[in-house]
This record gives sequence, C-alpha cells and structure tokens, in this order.
Amino acid sequence: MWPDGTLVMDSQGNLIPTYNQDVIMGFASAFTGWGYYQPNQANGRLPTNFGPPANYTNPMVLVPFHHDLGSKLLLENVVLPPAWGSQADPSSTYFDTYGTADLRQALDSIFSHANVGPFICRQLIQRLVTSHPSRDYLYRVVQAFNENGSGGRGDLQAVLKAILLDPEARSSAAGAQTTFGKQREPLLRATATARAFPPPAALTGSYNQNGSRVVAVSTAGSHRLNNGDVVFLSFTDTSGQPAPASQSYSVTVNGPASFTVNDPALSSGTYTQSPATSISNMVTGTVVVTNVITVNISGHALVPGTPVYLTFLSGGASNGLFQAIWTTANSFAAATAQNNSSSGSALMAKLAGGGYIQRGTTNTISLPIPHGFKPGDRVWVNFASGTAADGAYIVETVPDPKRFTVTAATSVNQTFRGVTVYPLIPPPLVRSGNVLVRLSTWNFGSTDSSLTQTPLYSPTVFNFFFPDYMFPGALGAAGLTTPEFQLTSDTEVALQMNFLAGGLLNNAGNTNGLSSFTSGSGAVALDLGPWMTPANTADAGIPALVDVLATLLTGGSLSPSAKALIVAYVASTARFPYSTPPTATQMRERVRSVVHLLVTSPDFTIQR
Amino acid sequence: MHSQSFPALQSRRQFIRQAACAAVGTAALTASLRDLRLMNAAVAQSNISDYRALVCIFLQGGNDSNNLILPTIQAEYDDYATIRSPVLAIPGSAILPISPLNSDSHEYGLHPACPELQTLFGEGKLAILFNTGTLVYPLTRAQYLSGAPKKPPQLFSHSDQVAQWQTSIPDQPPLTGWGGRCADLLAAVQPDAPISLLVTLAGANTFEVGNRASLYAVSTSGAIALSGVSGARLQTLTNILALPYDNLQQQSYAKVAKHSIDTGTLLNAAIAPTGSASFWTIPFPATITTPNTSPPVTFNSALGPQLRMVARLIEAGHRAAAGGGFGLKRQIFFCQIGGFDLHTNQTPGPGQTSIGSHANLLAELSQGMFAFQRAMEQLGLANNVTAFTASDFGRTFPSNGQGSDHGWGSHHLILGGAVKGQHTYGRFPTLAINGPDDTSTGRWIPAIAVDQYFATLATWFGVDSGNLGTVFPNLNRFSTPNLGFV
Repeated sequence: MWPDGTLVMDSQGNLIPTYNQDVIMGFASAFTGWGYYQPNQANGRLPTNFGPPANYTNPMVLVPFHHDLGSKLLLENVVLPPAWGSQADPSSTYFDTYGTADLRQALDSIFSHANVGPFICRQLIQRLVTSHPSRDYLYRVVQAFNENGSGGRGDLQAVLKAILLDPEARSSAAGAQTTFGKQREPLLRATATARAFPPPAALTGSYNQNGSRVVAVSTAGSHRLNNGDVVFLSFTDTSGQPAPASQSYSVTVNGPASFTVNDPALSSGTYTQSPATSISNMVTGTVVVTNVITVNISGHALVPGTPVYLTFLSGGASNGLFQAIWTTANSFAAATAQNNSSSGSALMAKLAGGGYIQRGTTNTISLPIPHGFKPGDRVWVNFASGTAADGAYIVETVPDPKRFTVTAATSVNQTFRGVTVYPLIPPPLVRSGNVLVRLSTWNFGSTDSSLTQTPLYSPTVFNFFFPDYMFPGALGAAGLTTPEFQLTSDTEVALQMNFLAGGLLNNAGNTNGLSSFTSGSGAVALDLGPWMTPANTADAGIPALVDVLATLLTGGSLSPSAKALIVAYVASTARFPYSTPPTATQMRERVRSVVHLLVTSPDFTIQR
Repeated sequence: MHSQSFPALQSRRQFIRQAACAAVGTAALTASLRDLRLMNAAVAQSNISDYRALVCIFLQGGNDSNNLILPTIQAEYDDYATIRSPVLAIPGSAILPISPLNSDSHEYGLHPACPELQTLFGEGKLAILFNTGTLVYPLTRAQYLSGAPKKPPQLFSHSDQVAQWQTSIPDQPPLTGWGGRCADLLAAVQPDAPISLLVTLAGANTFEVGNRASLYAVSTSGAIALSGVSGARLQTLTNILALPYDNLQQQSYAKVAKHSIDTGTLLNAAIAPTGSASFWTIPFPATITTPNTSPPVTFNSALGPQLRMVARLIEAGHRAAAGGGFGLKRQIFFCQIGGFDLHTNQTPGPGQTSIGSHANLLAELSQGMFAFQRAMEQLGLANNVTAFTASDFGRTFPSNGQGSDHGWGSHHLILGGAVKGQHTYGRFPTLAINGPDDTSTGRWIPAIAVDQYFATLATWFGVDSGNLGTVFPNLNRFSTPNLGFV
C-alpha cells in the first residue's frame, strides 16, 4: 500500500502482492516452538517439555527443540539465516537465543513494513471518525504513524492526535458532506447510552447473616433498588468466617437502605422426618424399615450413597452428616437416629459449575464462587467428565479462594468441566462484615443473538468488520466503504433496536430511573433519575429536554424534524398522563421515551 | 473517488502514486460498464414464468473434501491411505460406496458420516463435481510451477478465497457476488416482489451483493419483530426513520431499519402456515447425534434450522399472493456453517479417523441436505430448487499431524430434482504429492473453475446465454461454460 492507502500496482495495473505462500511458511517457521508459559530448566536454559498445561496469564515461552532451524523468508525478501554453528548445537545457549531472535526479527519484519501504517491508521480512522476517509486524511495520519516527530514509529498517541485533530475530523464542511461519518457499532450504541446516563457510584454498607441462607445488607445511603434488581456485591468478612461469594445477586428489598440476598453456596428446601418407615435403600437394593428423613431440594444432584451435610432451620431435626440412600430428581432420603416425627426447612451446601485440571495425582478443582475451605476440610466431589473418581476427598491446599487441590488415587493428566462439590462440614451461617454494592455487574455474557455482537468475541481473527466492506445500495454505488454496515441486515437492525429498548424500557417495577442492559439483568446500569424533574418532563419542558439529551447523545446533530416528532409524541398528556405534581413513574416514562427514540434514530446511529 | 488537490508532481514516487490511482479509476470504470450492461439486459430477461430457487450452502473455513469423496479401487485407496495415515485416512471398510451411472475408470465412496448423501446419490438427486476452485485461466501443473499464466491472487487465504468463490471474478476486487448479479438481471421478473430475491440466513455475504438488488436477512425463526415497542411509540420511531436524510449512511441505515419493521410483519405472516415442526414429513434436524461414536453425543445443528427456514421461505415465496404468499418466480438463498478450518482436531487421532469434528460437520451437512430434499419433494418443488455447496478451498492432502491445512481445488455437491444426479462431473485428481494435479504441497490445482460451476447453475436459474458473459466476465477463458449437471 502507498501511504495514502491506495494499492501498489505494476506497470500493467496488476496488484503487487505483499506476500505469498512462501512468506506465510517463512513466518510460520519463525514462530515454531512457542508454547504456554513454563519455568526454565534448573540450569537457567529454556525448557524442553513441549506439553505444559494451559496458562493464559503468563507470556508464552520458547521450547528451542521445537524451533525450526532452517532459513525463513519474511516480508520484503528478508531472509532469516538458518541456525549456524553453535546456534544449531542444543548444548549451547546460542541454541536458545537463535529462536528468540527469529521471533523478534519476524515481528520487526511485520512492524516495519510500509503497509502497517496505512492498514492500521485507516481502520483507526474508520473506528474513530469516518468510514471512508479521503486519501489525503489517511496520508496525513500515516505520516504521524511513520514518524512521531521525535524519531518514533508507531506512536499511537501521535496517531490519535493526528486522527482527531485533522481538519477532516473537525471542520463543519467535512461534517456536512453526505459521505462523512460512521455507524456506531451495536456495542458502542449501548455503551454510549450507558455513558450518557451513568449509574450512581458504588454504595458502601454492612452485611449480616444469622443462621439461615439469607444475607441482610444495610447500605450507607438510599440504594434506590427494587425487588429483582441485579447488583454486584463485594463482601469483606470481619467475623472470622469466609465471606459470602462476591458476585451478582438478585435483591429482595426491605427498606430504602436495606435488602437481602441468598447465599449462593446453599440450596434450601424442606424436610420430613418419619420414624420406623419402610424405604427402598437404593445403595443396597433392599427395602428396609428405619427412621427416615426425606429432603426436598430441587436439583440436588445427589446419587444414592453420597454423603451430605444437612442443616435444619426449623422442626428440631439435628444437623449433621447423612448418607443419601434413596434419590429422585428433586428429593432424597437418608436414615436418621432420631425417632420422632418432624418437618421444617433444610439447607444443603452445594457448589456447582466447577472444573478440574489434574496433573499426575494432584487434582486442582476450581469453582465459580469462593469455597471457604481450609486444608484438612472434607468434601464430596462429583466429576461429570473424565476419569477422576467421584468420592470423598480431603482438601490438601488452597491456592486461592476459588480453587483447592485434592489427591487422586490414579495419576493422569486431564482437564474437564462439570464438577460439583458438597462440603462435608457445617456451612458458615453466622457471619458479618462489610459490603460494596455496585449497580453494574459487567456480566454481559454472549450478546451475539441479542446485540449481534459480543464484546471481545469477534467471529473471526479479522475482528468484527472488514475495512473494505461496501454496503449494497446507495453507499456501495457511491463507492463508499462502511465497515459497520456489515451488521446492518434487516434481522440485525431489529435485534439491535430491541437490545436498546430492553436497556431503557425494562424494569416496570423500578420507577426511580434505574434500568440496565441486558434487559434489566444488571449488566450495565443506567440512571435516568437526574433528568426526572418536573421542569424537564412537563409538556412545556419537553422541547428543551429533547435538545439537551440530543446534545448529550448525538452531539447536537438531531434534525429539527426528528426533534419535532419526538416532542409531539412525548409532550402529550393523552399518551403520557401527567399529574400535578408528577409522579416518579410519569417523569420516568417521559424521559426514557425521549432517550429510546433518540438512540434508535439515524442521527444517533450514524455518528457525524 | 474523492476530489482532492495534490501538490504539483515533484518526485517519481508521487508520479507512481498518481499512476496507481489512475489504474484504480480504470478498474472502477470497467466495473460500471459491466453494471450498465446488466441493467440493459434486465429488461430482456423478464420472460420467465416458472418458479426456481438456488440455495448456496457455504462450508466456512475450507472443507476437507478429500475425506468427503474417497477412491475405493484398492490401489487408489492405498495411495490415499498411505499419505493420509494415521490421522486422516478413513478406513476402507467404513467408506460408504456409491455407484455413479457414468464411468471414469475410478470407483468412489463417501465419508462414513454421510449415509443420507449416499441415499440421495443413489436416487439420482445428487451430483458430485470434482476438483473445482478459483482460477483466472485454465492452469496445468507445469504452468503453475512456472508462474504463468496468472493464478488467482492470495490463494490459500480464507478471506480472499471466500470472496473469490462468491464473486466468481477472482482477479478483480470483490464488489459484487454472482448471486447478486443474477438477481440484478432477474429482478425484473418480479417487479412488485415484497421481499428481495436475495435472502440470507447467515448474515452479510459477498455472494448476494448486487449492484441494485438488496439483500434480505432473516433468522432461523423468521423475521425479528420489534419487541416492547408498539402503537404510537412504534409509529413515531418509524416516522423518524422515514424522514429524508442527506447523509448516505443515515439514509441507508434508516432504509434498512424501516424495511425491517415493515417487511418483518408481512414475512412472519406469510411463513406462519409452515411453522409447526410436524409440517414436514421428514423433520429438519435441530440436533445431530455424532455418527459412529460410542457413546454418541448430541449437538445443535446450525444448518438444519437454516435449511428449514429456507424451505419455509420457498413455500411462502412460491405461494401465490392470493393465497397469502409472495408469488415470486425466483429466489436465491445463502446458508452457512462454520468450523471446517480443521488444522487440529479434525479427527480424535489414529484408529478413530471416522469420527470427530469433521465427521460431525459432514453428518450435519448430510442430514440437513437430506431433510431439505425431502421437504422440496413434499412441496412438489423438487424440480424447481437446486442446492449446492461452496467452500473457501479444499485442504492439503497430507496431514499436518493433527488435521489439514489450507488447500485449493475441492469437490462439491449439487442437489435437486432438476440435477442430473448419480453422476460425477469433472476429473478426480491424482492423489499424489507432486502428481499432475498437485501444486507440490498436496493442494490440488483445480481442473474446473468456479466460473464454470456457477455459470451452469446460473444458466439453469434463467440467465440466458447472451448475459452469461456479463455475469461471469472470465467465463470465456474456459472451454466448457456448461458442465451439464443440471
């Protein structure tokens, strides 16, 4: 590519390829031998084992025995020489440095190539300013990439400055061109809305759990939450017990500054104790008469023979270890020494959704929430996959709050999901401490089927959008590249509008202005509350409200016609009843209706 | 092109830059002349009365068709097995034999995960096309190695080869797809069509980009309706979209969004009669059970639901407007399943080569195509609908130890009542490294160009001989413009 992004051609007008299959193979060879992180050998040399366990946090490490020692063709006809002399001698440290130097030179070969500036800068301009930058604009930015003014190449700070301060980004003449601007990609439509209406800062508070699975939270100020709202709670224990799991919770509101949540490590249900009852013992395959305690806990996942620690909150049954001798999907029964009839509510500790990595006889079990174990605690572990044996284990070590190790009887290397842990010790039911309440959980999950785009999860290595994409119709006919229009089919546009509506028009119960993506699940919280004033929401205030929100969301580019339509729709007591003084619900309904129509409008969707 | 002021030419470097721009300008001019011819031709192509549909099934990532269609004469099988062992060679005893009516002195079988394709082939509804790929000119091994004549740019690269397959003009920048150009030509046969001739079940794609014809995207459950927005709110939203916009991006976005709202309701009503799963005598597979595995594992089929919706849209498209349908004469559909880029884990390993990731994908393809054919027969439209496979490229014949790498020519399947099935077309490559069909790394040099493959389909679809060269500008470089499989 030339520095203005046009393609280099030969004298006959044929494109000149930047690389061919031989170069691809050259780079592939230069990159051979790199694997997951592992420590060096005891003598300080690079490792020899090419099968270390997966490690996604530390940098990759070269295993020189697996590095190609031949020559490698890189870009611009640069050839890395084959290993020579001591470089090809595994006993020499040059054997280690040869492969490392290959990687450095291969990366340098890419970074120093003339295509990188126009390739990267064009896409940065497309993401930040306009979908179809002029060659002049791109050329100016590429100059900043190639040379930042003090001899540096690839200085992104200088590049950003060049992009954002360019006349083509800032002049009103450029902005008025019919070809200018970019579509906000779907995710950015959601985040721009969230940024415009940020939720209140995290609230501090305290928590107290007193003998049941209910954790009571008191906040330092009004939390403005409503039943069913989802928040992220971070617990710090001050009572000498393991703290409850810091994660997303659905709240039950008790008062303006208090709510409760349920401890996720505990499953609750009911029990019935019957003396001298006939029961089919599924462990032995016989029918026996014994004192039976039958527990109903949906999805308990116990199988006959499994030990389980039960806590009884009412009815007088004694807490302790039992063995399930009869099970159905949502019930199980155990023999008990107590010979009286009773019934009440029961709790069972169960930690599901884990996985394990076994190396030799050391099996490291990881769980989605903190387990609170200490070495020596007894647990029962069910493994859904792999050859690890279900059974009772002793916790050997606790590398971090969500992981622990046990010792397996058989030595094998394996990694699987599907682990359920049943602690065989009394669960912590009395504890207290401090809590931080965050309104956004950031638990966005996969939004491919709702937003048509999932953060950090592009479908290919080419990211979400091809820089050359032309959308059929007026844009394609004008020869304009508009990458973000790749997610602009009939289906996708409807899904995107639904996603935005879901973040704004959800949460019927909460009328104080709090709402959230995704569809009220608390992923990214919004707060329309500050806009919900009588001055903003009275019929006479709506035009000014639309103006100020249009400035916030569209940079003032809302067309007068669109404004008129929004005002006519919202400033209507027939459609939006309005009492004096207005209720919170009435004000909320008007503000969110304005915001919803703004963020689904072409003036917001296309950023100019 | 943007108008722009350049400083006076001061250096050779700048002169070359200007010359390069001029070259781009020429290419753009060529493209628009082609488009002009298309527009003029569209009028001449309006004398069509029957219903026909083309269904593209794109196997994304590059299907290893070396393991889809296998040689079964012992000596040839041995050549195959020697090179592909131990990770990729399908055991000879597991291969599903087929009996083509034509003879090319070879014998063939299918991957063990494809018994349904075996059935369709035996019924004469499925044709096999050998070693087809992107070509700029016919190319022999000697020519390939000598570097002349030209070969397609960026061979073995996913994004480029997908685009070249879908444009069928490998030596030009991807502007329009051949499906889109057919639609430009044939849209005139249904001027009042409520939905576009071009429908995708798998999002934006190059195949269905036309100069004028628009692309309509549906999900596997139909059009997505707006939720939580109705009445006056919906009316206001729609009115904002209907405003005039000077900015081309705003204009285009508003048009799609409004079309989505307006057409969605119409479409969902039209496909409602086929909504029940029990409508289809042979149900479309929603899940696939891994073939030949113990214990079997079930996974969701990405293709089955897409083909089911295609069948429903064919039913609604074909049905007369008086009967609540769209009364269309021509439709083009695009479906896609991914996961074929199996550099690793193509099979679980030696001794288990009949199962694993590739086998699962082929089972999904086989079961999906089978259900689709049965559905077309049930609708009485078997002779009116032709489905065909396409893919980035084939894969290397030798294994990389865990799977196979990016190749070139590959085998393909054409399905339908109009297809002259139970035949093979083209020439099976000689399965030898450095053999007459090899680039030297086990990547087959195509004996048939995608242009020939697609021109044959386009001819059946109704593009007349006078316009064929307009849709496929490179077609005259190849000796057989019609391969005769349909």
